Amino acid sequence: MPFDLLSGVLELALSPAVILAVLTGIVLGVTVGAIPGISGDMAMALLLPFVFTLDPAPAIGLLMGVYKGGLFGGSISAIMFGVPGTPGAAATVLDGYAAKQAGYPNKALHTGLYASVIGDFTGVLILVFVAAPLALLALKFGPREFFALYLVSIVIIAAIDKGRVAKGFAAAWFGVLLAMIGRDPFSGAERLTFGIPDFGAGLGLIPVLIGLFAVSEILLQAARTWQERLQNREQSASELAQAAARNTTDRLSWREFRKLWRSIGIGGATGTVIGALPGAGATLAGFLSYGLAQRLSTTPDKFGKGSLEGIAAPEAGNSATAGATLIPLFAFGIPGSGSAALIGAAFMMQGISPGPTMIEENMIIVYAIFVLLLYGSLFNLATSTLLLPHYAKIATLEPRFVLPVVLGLAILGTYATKNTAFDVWVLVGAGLLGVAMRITGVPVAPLALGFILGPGLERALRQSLILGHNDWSYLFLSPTAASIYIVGLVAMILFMRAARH
Amino acid sequence: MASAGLLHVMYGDWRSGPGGGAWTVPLIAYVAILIAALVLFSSAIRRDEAETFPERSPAVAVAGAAIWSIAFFYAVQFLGLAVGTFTAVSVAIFMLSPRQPSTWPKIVVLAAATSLSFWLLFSLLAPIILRRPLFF
Repeated sequence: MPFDLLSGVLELALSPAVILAVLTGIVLGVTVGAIPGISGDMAMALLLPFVFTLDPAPAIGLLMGVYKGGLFGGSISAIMFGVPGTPGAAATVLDGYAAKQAGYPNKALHTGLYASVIGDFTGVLILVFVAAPLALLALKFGPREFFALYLVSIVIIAAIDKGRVAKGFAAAWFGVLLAMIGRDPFSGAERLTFGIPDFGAGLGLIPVLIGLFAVSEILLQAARTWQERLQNREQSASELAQAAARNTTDRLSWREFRKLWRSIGIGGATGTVIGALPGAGATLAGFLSYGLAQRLSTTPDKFGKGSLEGIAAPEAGNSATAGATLIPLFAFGIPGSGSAALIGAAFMMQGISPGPTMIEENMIIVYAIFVLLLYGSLFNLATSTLLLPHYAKIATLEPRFVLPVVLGLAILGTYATKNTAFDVWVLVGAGLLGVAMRITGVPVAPLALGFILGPGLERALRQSLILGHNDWSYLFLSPTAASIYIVGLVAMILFMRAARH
Repeated sequence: MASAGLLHVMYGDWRSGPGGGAWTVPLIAYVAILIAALVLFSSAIRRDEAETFPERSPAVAVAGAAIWSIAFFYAVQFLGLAVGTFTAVSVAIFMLSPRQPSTWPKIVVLAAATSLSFWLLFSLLAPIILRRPLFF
C-alpha cells in the first residue's frame, strides 16, 4: 500500500472521533447484549437514524462496535442466567450456565471474553485479506452473474433454518415483494401502491429494518411484561441478576486458558467460514463450533456440564462471524446476515454503495474501517475486562423501565430521518408484521434480506433480459453464473445437512 | 395473497417496459410464495398433530403497545417533544408497573430523565420538525 494512502488510512482510523465512536459502540453493545431481549441488532437498528449525523468512519465504527460488543454481551446473560442475551449466544448457554451453577461464573465469563476477542480478531483478519481480492473478481461480473448471486443468496438464506425452510422462503420473497412497492426503476410506472400517494416513493429502509428487528421484539416483550404484571409475577431477570451477582470470585488461570486453544481455534475457523456465507449467522456458527469442538475434544463427556471448552468454542465461533459477515457485503454488495444488512444500510445512508466498486472508490474509508475493526477487538478486551464485574448487574434493569424508552427512541429516531409521519406508520406496521412472524414461527431475517436484495435482484434480472433480448436462457448461458448456481446448490445441501445434525 | 397477486399481474393495469416489464419480479415473488404456501399446506395435512398458536396469545397486549406507539408520536407532535415524551413514557411505565405507591417516584424521575434526553437528542443531534405544539 503506498505510503500516502497508508498515512491517510491511519490518520482517519486513529482520529479521536473514530476512536471514541468505536469505544462507545463496544460499551453500548456489551451493555445491551447483556440485557436479555435487547440484542446488538436491535441497538444497531435504533442507531441507524443517527448515522446521518456522523461521518462514514465514525458511523461504521459505532455500529461495528455495537455489533462486536453485542456478540460478547449476549454470553453474559447466557452464562449468568441461562438465557442468551443475543441469538448468537444460544450455544454458550449449554456449558456457560452449567459452569455458573457449578460455582465458577467468573471463570466462565473470562473464558467467553477471551475466546470472543480472539475469534473476532480472526474473522476481521480474514476480512482484510479476502475482501479486496474478491471484490476485484466481482468487478468482472455482469448482470447475469449478479442475478445468480442474489438469487442463490436469497435461496440459501431461506434454506438455512432447519424446519422452517418453506416459511423462510416465503418470508424472503415477501421481502422482495415489499421492495417492489413504489415506482418501477426502468419505466417510472407506479406499482403496488394501491392508489396511496405515500407509497409512490416506496417503503423506507430504516422504518422497515427498525420495525422488524427492534419494534417487533419490544412489542412482544411489552406484552409479556404486561401479562406478568396482571398475574403479579414480577419475578424477572432483575431478581435472577441479583442472585447471580453474588458469587463472582473464581478466576481463570493461565494453565486453564492454555488448554482452550484448540477449542478457540475450531470456533474461530468455523465462525469465519460460516460468517462469510449468506444467511448463515452467529447462531449456526456457535452451534457448529460447539459440536465440532466436542467431537475433537479429549474430554467430550465433560461438555454440557460446565466445560470451559464448551464455552470457548461457541464464543469464538459466534464472534468470528463479526468480521467475516462483512465479506460478501464488501465484495458483492450482498449482506450475509441481518447485522450486515444494517451495516449495508448505514453505508447507503452515507452515500457509499456496498459492492465490488466500494473498495476501489472509497479506499481510505474502507481500509480505515479494517483498522478500526482490528483495534476494536482490543478495545473490547480492555473495556470488558474492566467492566465485567458490573455487566452482570445490567440485567437488574427492569423491562418496564427500559421498553418504553427504547420504543420511544425507535419512533422518534425513525421520524428524524425524513420527518414524515408515513415512516412512523411503516415502522409500527413492520413491527406488527414482525410480531406476527415471530408468533407463527416465520423467521424475520430472510424478509429483511429479501427487502434489501430485491432492488438489486430486479436491476440485474432486467438488465440481463435487455441484453439477452428477453431470452430467459441468456441468464444461464454464462459459465460463471452457472458455477454460482451449482456452488449455491451444493452449499445449501451441505448446510441443511449440517443444521439437521 | 400470492394467488391474488398472480391474478393482478395477469389482469391488472401494468405498463410494459424494458427487460420484461414492471411485473417481472413481482410475478416471480408471487410464484415463489405460492410454492412455499403449497409446501406448508401439504406438510400440515400430512402432520399428525395440528400446529396451534401459543396459549395466551399476546395479541391484545401487542395491539395496546402499538396504539401507545402511535399515541406517543402524536403526543410529541401536539404537546411538544419534552412534555409529550414525559406524558407518554409515564403512562407506559405506569401501565407496566405494579400498583404500589413506591413506584411513583421512579416513574416520575425516569420519565423526566427520558424527556430531557430526548429533547437534547432530537433538538441538537438529530433535529426533528414538529407542528406548532402546545408546549415544548
